Parts: sequence; structure tokens; C-alpha cells
Amino acid sequence: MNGPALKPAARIFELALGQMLWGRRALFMAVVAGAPVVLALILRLTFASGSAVFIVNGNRVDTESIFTTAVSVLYLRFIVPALGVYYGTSLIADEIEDKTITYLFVRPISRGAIVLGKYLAYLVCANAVVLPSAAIVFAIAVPVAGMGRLLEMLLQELGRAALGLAAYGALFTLAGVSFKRPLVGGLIFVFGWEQMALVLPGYLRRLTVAYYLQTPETGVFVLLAVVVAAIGASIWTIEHREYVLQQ
Amino acid sequence: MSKRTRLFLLASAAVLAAVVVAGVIARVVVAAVASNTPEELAYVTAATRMVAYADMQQLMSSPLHDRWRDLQKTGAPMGDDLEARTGIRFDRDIDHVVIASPGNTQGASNPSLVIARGRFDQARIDAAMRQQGAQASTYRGKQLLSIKDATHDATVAFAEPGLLLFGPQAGVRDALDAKAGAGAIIASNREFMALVDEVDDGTAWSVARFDSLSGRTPLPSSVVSQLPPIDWIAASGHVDSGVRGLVRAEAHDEQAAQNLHDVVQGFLALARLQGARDPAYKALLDSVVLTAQGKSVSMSFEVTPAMLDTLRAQGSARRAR
Repeated sequence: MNGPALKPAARIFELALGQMLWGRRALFMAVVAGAPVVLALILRLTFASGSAVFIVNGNRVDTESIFTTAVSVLYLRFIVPALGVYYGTSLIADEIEDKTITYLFVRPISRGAIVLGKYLAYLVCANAVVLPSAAIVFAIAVPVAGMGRLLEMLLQELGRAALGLAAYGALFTLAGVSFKRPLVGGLIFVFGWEQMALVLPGYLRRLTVAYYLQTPETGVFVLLAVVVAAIGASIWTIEHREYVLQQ
Repeated sequence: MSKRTRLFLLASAAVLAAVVVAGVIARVVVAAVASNTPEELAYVTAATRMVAYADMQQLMSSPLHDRWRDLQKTGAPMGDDLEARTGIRFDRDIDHVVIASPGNTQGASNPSLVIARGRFDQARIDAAMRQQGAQASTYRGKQLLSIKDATHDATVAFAEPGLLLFGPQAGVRDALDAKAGAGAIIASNREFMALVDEVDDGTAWSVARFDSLSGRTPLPSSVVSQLPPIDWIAASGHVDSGVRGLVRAEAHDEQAAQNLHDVVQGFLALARLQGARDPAYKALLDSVVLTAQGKSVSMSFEVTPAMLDTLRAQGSARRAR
């Protein structure tokens, strides 16, 4: 990818960003990002009224635990991978399925610019929805007095979410340009393989993205390498593969 | 890019920025309003393994202390060694105290340095020390009164008006060096200070390197050696008519923290099983909140006056039998 190729990528980025934010898939994103906010609001109001005490594994849950649980379980284990699969696999696969990829390929732009532009649009779109959602959950769940103390943790969790979106998105973009029906495989990978490998003893967990999201010290470099490698491989694949559109 | 897309991105960035700014403001305000970190830490050297702090006035005037005094009328008073040597009474003369311990070396326990702020009768203390054979010397412009022989090593120095150092001579000298900037102080240790910030709103608190506690914990050494690797341990207590306590351990890594969390949770489950029939223990165990977050494992608990009454009644009943 050279300098002149970045301009077409920017054009594709603008186009794809609008489609992602205001297209039919945006509803899924709104529901997925809005649910934790509603849940946090309900729990906060319940705590404030003192009408219920939540005990998990014998331990009383406080409002701060709501945020840590929401981030580690809801966002990093569900929302981030789900958005990565849902959007990543569709970046190119949808164009193939809708038979509109031809319109992009006949334009005087490199195929790699299409992948890059669409991936960046996904990255901006997903981050623009997920990160404010997590920040709002933080603002709802954590009392003002505790906000300063937990600020570092918020920034770390936002960083982890952004890194997760980038890694899952890149992996499933590669799946999207390589396979015909990538969504099912992606869902099996995220909600089957990753969940299983994380609890298995040994080194199998190292073959998951979730493992590296849990170990930020070394995980950052591994995940950045995954992003670069997956996007590089996606560009190479789309440049060299022949897509046969079914009539 | 369409106008609504641009607006959406701006709104998204604004929400994110607003929450982060709110967090920053909360951090600054809380730090400014509620910074309880004692300035006496400037006398504590970087080599110190454990630091403890107690607000003596708040402790001594608390209803809990009154109860304790009733129960322990026959026990030895707190700070008896200091009082015997210097005539200083913990409850009357001292506002707050910082105790810095160098930990155990080669199996031997090193004496701690006591840094006390309060109202001291310097002439009386001077006379009491000299009566026991104390020798006067000067170090960094401060007078040291030292009793040093085969069995004793105690030095008193008035570092500032109302600030007294008491401990082994080398410890007092190191403290004066640290204050003068001739040695590294513990406050330059970011890990330590982060933990102090977490606990310094308590009436009494302590932050220690976990290995410095070997032989000092109520747990058998065989149990301690089986625990996941822990770097630091911090504890604080808010004392009033009851006690609200927090114990926080900083594990070596996230996995160790999770393991420690599981171990403590197991102990709690066992304790709940055993204490289920006892209302006081049950209430105490119900108040326990155990959380693991990153490398930290925290356990908070509350001992209410009602629980203390029940425990006291049970103790009396056992003694009567």
C-alpha cells in the first residue's frame, strides 16, 4: 500500500462509515451498546433505593463491581467479539453476497484500498459506539467520589476494548475476504473456541484473542501484530483472489 | 462525510471526553480535599519494609476504645516501652504516629522507628532519658539522646517542634538523612504511595511488603508459603463505635490475584459454613466484600457495635462456664 493508494482508501472510508452508522446493521450495534447502559441504570437505581442486595459467590456486589463486571464480561467477552465478527466478516462478504463488489473493483482504485478503507471505517464506527457506551456505564455505576480512583482502570479498559475491536475486526476481515460464509465460522470461533480454550489447561488459550486482552503487558504487542498481519493478509488475498459471483 | 455522521462522531467523542474529564476532576478534587498522607513519611527511608499509621486522638476518643479499655483493664497499656523509657504516654501526648519497620533480616526482627507528632514536654523527656544513662550527641543539627549497650539501642530526637523520633540510633540517623535529602525516601516508591493513597483515609492503616510480614501474620508459615505470590499488602480501619476494615493485597500478576481471590473465597466459604449458626459471626461474614481487580485483591468488612456486644456476651458466658 503506497501513498497514492491512501487517498482512495480515505474515500472508501467515508463512504463505508456512513453506510455502517446509518445502515441496517446500525440497529444491532445500538442494541448491543445500549443494553449495558440500561442494565447499569437499573442496577444503580436498585442500589440507590436499597431495595436489593446482590450477592455473587457469597460476596456482596457494589456499584463499582458492576462496572468491572460489565467491562470484563459484557464488553470484552461479548460485545467486542460480537461486533468484530458481525462487522468484520461483512466488510467484503456483504459486497460479494449483494454482488456489488464488481462496482468497487471496476473503479480505478486498488483492491487493497477497499479493504483498508472499510476496515478503518469499521474501527471508527465501532469505537465511536462502544467506548462512549462503556464510559456511560462507568459514569452511571461508579460514584463521583470513586471516579478519580478508578479513572486509570477506565482508561485501561477503554484501551483494551479498542484493541479488542481492532484485533477481532482484522481477523474477521481476513475471514471475510477468504471464505464464502465467514459469519458462522466467526461465531463458532468467538463463542465456542475462545470460551472453551480459555478454561482448558495448557497453552491452547494462547490461540485466542481474549487471552491477550486479559494479559495487557505482552498482549498489546501480540494483538497489534495480529492486526497488521491480518490486514496485510486481507489486502494480499483480495488483490490475488478471483471472486466468482453466483448468478 | 455527511453532516449527521460528523455530528455523531463529535457527540461520541464529547461523551468520552466528558466522562474522562469528570474522572480527572474527581481525582484532583479528592486528592486536594482528602489527602491524608502524613508528611512524616519524609522521614521514612526507601529501605523500609512496613509502614503503619494511627490517628491516636481519634482512636483514643472512639467509643470502640472505651469498650476495649473496659475489656482489657488488666492488659499492658499500648506503647509501654516508649513510656517506660521516655515518659511519653501514647494516649495523652501523641496526636498521630507513624511506625516504620525495616522488616526481618536473617531471621531477626529489627526494631522499628516511631515518628510521633504531638505535644511533648522536651525537658521531662530529656531528664527521663538521661536518668537511664542516655548519652547526648548531635546529628544534622538535632540533639540525639541515646541509650546504647549490649541489650538496648534506643534513641530519641526532636526533629521538629512537636515531632519526635524514637528508635534505634542508626534508624533515627537514617530518618534525619532522609528528611535532609541525603537518602531516598519511601514516598518516592510509586507502588507504595499508590497503596497509601488507597488506605490513608482510615483511622489506622498499614502498608507492607508481604515478605516483611513473615512470622508476623496469624497464619501458619506452611499456609503462607502456599499462598500465591503477593508483593504488597495494605490494611486500613475506620474506628468509631465499630470498625470498618479493608485489607488489600497486590499480587505478583493478574493470575496470582485471581488465585488468591479463589483461596480467600474458599476460606470465607468454610468460615460461613462453620459460623452459620452464630449470629455475630454470620453478620460479620455477611459484611465481607471480596473483589479482585487486575493485580489487586481487596476484602472489606464491618464489625458493628451490635456484633461486638454479641461477641462480648459470648465471651463472658464462656468464661462463666
